[in-house]
Amino acid sequence: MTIMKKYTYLLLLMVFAGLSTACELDELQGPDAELYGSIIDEATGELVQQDIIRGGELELREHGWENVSPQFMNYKVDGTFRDSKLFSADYNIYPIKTNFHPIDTIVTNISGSKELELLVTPYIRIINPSISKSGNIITATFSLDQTGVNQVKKVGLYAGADGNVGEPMRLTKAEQEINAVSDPSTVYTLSINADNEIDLKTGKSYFFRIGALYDAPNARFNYAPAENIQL
Amino acid sequence: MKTLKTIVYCSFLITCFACSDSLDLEPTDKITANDLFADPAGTQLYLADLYDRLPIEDLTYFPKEGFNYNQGGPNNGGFNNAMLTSLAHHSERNSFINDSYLNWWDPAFRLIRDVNLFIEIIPTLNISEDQKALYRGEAAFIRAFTYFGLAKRYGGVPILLEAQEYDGDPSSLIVPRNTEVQTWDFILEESDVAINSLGNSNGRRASKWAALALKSRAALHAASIAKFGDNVDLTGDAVNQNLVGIPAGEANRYYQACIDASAELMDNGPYSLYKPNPASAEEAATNFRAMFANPNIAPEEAILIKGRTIPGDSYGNNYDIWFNPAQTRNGWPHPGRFCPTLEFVDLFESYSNPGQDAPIITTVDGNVDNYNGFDASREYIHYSDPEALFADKDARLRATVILPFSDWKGVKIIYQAGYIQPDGVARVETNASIDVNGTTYYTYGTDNPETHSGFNPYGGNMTKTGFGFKKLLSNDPVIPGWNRGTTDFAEFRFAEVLLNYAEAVVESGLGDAAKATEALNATRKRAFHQTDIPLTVENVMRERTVELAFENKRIWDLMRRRSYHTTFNNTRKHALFPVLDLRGDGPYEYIFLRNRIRGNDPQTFDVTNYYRKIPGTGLNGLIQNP
Repeated sequence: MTIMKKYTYLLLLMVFAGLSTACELDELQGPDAELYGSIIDEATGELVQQDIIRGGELELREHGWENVSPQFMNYKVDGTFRDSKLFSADYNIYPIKTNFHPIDTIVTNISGSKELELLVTPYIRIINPSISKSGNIITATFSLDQTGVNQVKKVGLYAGADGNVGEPMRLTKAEQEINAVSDPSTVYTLSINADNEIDLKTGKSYFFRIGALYDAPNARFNYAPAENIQL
Repeated sequence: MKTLKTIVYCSFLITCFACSDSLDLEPTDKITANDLFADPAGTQLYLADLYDRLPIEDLTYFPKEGFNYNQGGPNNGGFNNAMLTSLAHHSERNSFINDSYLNWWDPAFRLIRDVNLFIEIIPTLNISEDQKALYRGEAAFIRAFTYFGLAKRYGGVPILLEAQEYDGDPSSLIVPRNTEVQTWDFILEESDVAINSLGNSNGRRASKWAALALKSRAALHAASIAKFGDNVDLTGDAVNQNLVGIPAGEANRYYQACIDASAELMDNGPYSLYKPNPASAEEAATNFRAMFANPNIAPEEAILIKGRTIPGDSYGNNYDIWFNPAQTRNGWPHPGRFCPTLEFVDLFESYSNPGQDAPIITTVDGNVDNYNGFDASREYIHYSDPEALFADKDARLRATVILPFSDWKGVKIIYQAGYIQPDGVARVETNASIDVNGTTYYTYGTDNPETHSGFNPYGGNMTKTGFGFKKLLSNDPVIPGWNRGTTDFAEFRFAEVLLNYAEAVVESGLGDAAKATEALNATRKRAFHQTDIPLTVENVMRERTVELAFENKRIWDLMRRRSYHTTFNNTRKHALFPVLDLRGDGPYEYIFLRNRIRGNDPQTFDVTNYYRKIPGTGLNGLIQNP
C-alpha cells in the first residue's frame, strides 16, 4: 500500500514538474500600443464629421514585414478615432476615402499612447446649418462652402435612429442632386414629412444630419453635426 | 558474456540482409498515373473528375459553401445566390453579401494543377492524334472555365500554364498576379483552343458549342467591367497595377468577341429554343417549366448539362427539400426557405402592355410605391379568384414562381397573410381566427400549419413574400432526406446566348441590330408574347432577369455591370400579402397589400465587394484586392 502511495506521489510530482516547465512565454510583444486622435479642419479648428460605416478610413502599414497587409481604421462620426490594440512599430499612415483634400503619407513610430492630429481641408463646409420642426415636417436649411474647383454631386438630409446617422446609415432621406459648383450664398432647403415615412413614428425622437458629397474619386460625405428632434 | 556476443553478431548479420526489394510494394489501394492513363477508361475517369470540379453553379452551388455542397448533412438553410439579389429573400435570414460569400480560391488552383498535369500527359498517351486533339480541347475548355470562375471573383489572377514542381524552395512556387485584362484574354484564348479542337458532344461534355457559349459569356462579362468600371471608385495597389479593373477602351474589343462567338453559335450551331412557338400562355408556361424539371427533354436548347443521376451524399442536390412549399414537403421538416420577392414579380411584362415592367396594382388609386400596410381609406381591388391578379402576366411568371392559391403537384398552395375583420381592423401576419356568419376564418387560411404554406412563422417553413420557388423543382414527390434530388442543370442554354448577343449589340452599337432585336424577342415569343419590343438596354436586362432567373446568373449581372451598389443602397425587398376581406356581406373576396418583408432590414452593397479578398496574402505574396 505504501509503495502504491509512493508511486502515486511520484507520478503526481512528475506531472506537476512537467506542467510547470512546459509553458514558456514567447518572446513576442502583444499589441500594447495605441493610436488616437482627430481630424481637424485647419481653417476653423473644428472636428471634421465622418461616417462610422462606409466612410473614410485610416490605412496603416506596419514597417518591417514583407507583403504587409494594411490595416484599416474607421472613424467615429465626430471625426475622432482610437485603436488601442496596435503593435509598437513604425507605421505608414494614410487616410483613404476621405471627405477632405488628400494629405501626404505620415510616417511615424507608434508606441505607448500616440496622439495624431490630422490637419485637413474638408471638401465642403456646411455653413449656417439649421434643422427645425413644424408639425411633423422636418426642414433643414444650409449653405455650402466648397474648397475645391470640382462640382458638388448632391446634398441630403438624413434621418436615423441614433447619432451615427448619415447617408450609409439612415431610416429615410431627402436628397437633391446638385452636379454644379456651389455658390456660398445659395441657401438649400430640404425637408422630410414624417407622416409619409413608416420608419419615423410620432412621439419618438430621431437624429437628423445634413450632408453634402463632393465630386472627387472616392470622396465621402461632409456633414454638419447630427441633431436630435422629438416628433 | 559469450551469449551477449552471439546476440550482437546475429543482430548485425540480420541487419545486413534486412533490406529486400520484395518489400518495395506498390500500394494496392491506389493506382499510378501510368496505369490510369494507359487505359482509355482511366483517362475518362480522370476527366470526369475534372468536369465535376468545374465552377458550374448548379443546384448544389451555394454562395457561402461553394460548389458541390452535397456532402453528408449539408445544412446551410438553403441560402442561395438569388437571395443576395432582389429576386428573392430567405424565410429565416436577412444575410447580405460580405467577404465570406462567393469565394473560390484553393479548389480552383487545385483544379488548375490537375488540368495542367493532364495537358502535360496527353502527348505521351498511346492514342490517335485526333483523340489527343480532342483531349487538348476539353482540357482547354476546363482551364478556360476555371479561370472564368476565378476572374469573375478575383479579377486578375496568376496564370499557371504548367503544374508546378516543388524543389524544396517555397518561394519558387510564388507566381504574381496577372492583370485583369491578361486574365480575361487568356480565358478567351483558351476558349478558342477548345472551339478549334472540339466538335459536337452529348451535351454532358465540352463541345465546340459549349466553348463558344463560354466565350460569349466571358467576353460579355469582361466588356461590362470595362464599360461600367468607372461607375465605382476603387483604390489600392491592385487598382494601380491593373490587377483589378479593365480600361474603358477595351470594352468594344470584348463586346465584339461576345458578338462573334454568339453569332457563330446562333448561325452555325445545331441549337435552337425549345418549343419556340406555343399556342397559348398556358402551353408556354408548361413548356418552360418542363425544361428545368428535366433539361434532358430539351437537347436542342441545353448546350451543356451537369447531371445528377444518383441520389445520395456527394451526388444529389437539396433544392427540393429546401424550396418546396410547406404543403408539399412530404415529411421533410424544413421546407419553404425560398421567397421570391414582389420586385421580381413586378418585373415580368404583361401581355397587354409589352416592353414595360408590370407592377402588381392592388388599389384603385394605382399607387405601387406604398408599402405601409393596410389603410382603410384606400380602395382595394377585390378578387374572388386570386390567380386572376396575374392572368395578364408573362407565362414565365407562373413557371418560375408558385403564385398564391395556385396548384402545385395537385395541391392548392395557400399563401394567405391575414384578413380584414368585419369592423375594418386588419389582422395580418398574426395567428388568429374569427367567426363571421357562422364560418370560422383563419389568418393564414387554415387552422393548422400542415395545410397552408405562407406567412406563419412556424419553423421558418413558410413564404414571407406571398410567392414560392418553382422553376427548378422536380415534379416528383419530395424524398425527405439529404441529397436525394437528382434534377440536372443546364449550365449553358441557347436562350442565354441569344440574350448575350442582344446585350453586346445594344451596349456597343457593334454587330447586327436587327438580328439582336430578333434574338431579344425570340425568348419572349416562346413565352407567348405576340408583340415585338425594341432593342433597348432596359428591355434586354429585363428579359435576361426574367428568362434566366434563379439560374445563378443575376448576381453576376449585378457584379459585372457594376449596378450592385446602386441596386442595394439602404434597399429593402418587398412582399405581396393576400388578405381575405371580411367586411360587408359575403361572398368574401381577396385583396392584396404591397408590403415590407418581415425581418428584412435595409441592405447596402459596399463597392469593395465587387472583388473577393484573396486568402493567404501574407504567404503567397499576392497583392490584395481593394
